[in-house]
Amino acid sequence: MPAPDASSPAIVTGNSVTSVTTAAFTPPNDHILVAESIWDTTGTPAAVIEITNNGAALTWTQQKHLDGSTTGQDGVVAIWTAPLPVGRSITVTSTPTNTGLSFDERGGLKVYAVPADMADPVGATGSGQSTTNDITPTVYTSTVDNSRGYGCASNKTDRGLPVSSDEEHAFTIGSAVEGMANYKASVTTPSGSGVTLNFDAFGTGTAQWNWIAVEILPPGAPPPPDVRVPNSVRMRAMRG
Amino acid sequence: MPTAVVLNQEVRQGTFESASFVIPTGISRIDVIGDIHVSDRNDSGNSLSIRVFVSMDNGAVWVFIGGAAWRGNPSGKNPTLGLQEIDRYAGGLIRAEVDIPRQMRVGAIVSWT
Repeated sequence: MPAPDASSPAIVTGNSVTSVTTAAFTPPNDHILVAESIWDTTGTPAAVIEITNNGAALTWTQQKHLDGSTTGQDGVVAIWTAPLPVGRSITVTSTPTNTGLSFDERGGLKVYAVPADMADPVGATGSGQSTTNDITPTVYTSTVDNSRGYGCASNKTDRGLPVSSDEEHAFTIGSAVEGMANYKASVTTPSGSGVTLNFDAFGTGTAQWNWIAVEILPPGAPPPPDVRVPNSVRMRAMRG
Repeated sequence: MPTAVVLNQEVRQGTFESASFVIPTGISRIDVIGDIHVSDRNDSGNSLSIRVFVSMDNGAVWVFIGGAAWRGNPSGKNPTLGLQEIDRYAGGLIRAEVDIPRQMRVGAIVSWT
């Protein structure tokens, strides 16, 4: 927990398209859909990615976003989540919507169906950038026991398929854009641990990583410890 | 990279199904390329959507496995839809479906690796 369910669809990519849509898949009841989308940008515009689904619209929440307007590097990444209390056949679509993007849009979408906390699926988040080819940043500090890190990244280089020492789903388009969605192979415990994710570009040359990550909380996760508890209360508890 | 023309480039408008073929074993990715005539590609009033289906029971039931949308663009580029982890459908049939709202000259090509 919270590991991706086997029903999660394969990554889908597009070159010179305005949107991409995943395969139809049927997650079990009480799962969170984690949609990780990566698109190329030309220059460094503020870029927006929208996530939608077929049939009755789910409530999608953008949990983390990063684009070139912040990093000064090409590429936009976003992680959205939506609760799915009752499993059904569903497809998910990613659409870059702002006019700052060029018409020859290149990008990909990976969706994970995850058994997670339905009310509040995301704890800590993180983001960053790097020009180093192979990076393993500490992406966040965990807030509960048994959570799991999920991330995605863009890399605008003239290269090939990236890899990761974590569980990854990667793509390359036209040897010009790399993208990767990844997650930790095991849960993180205890709370307060630094969580890393590995993004390793093709070859050894300079990269342009824009990465983001979120902590997916297990079902029924307790709220993070309340650090505002007065010392006097804590002392009484310890004596008891 | 092997390729196959699954829909000949012709003047079309409406919804068109491509021919189907068996997904080879040992491949990991299939790309479906909208083969739009060069004179129609940069007209921003043109658009199309591609949907891809597989059948694991010789065509009795078709399951949607991915899609993409395109519109005419100043770069004059064709759309490509990339489908990964395609080995999970090895031995099944695959076909594309193309929606063309406005008349233009369109076909479809599939490549695999």
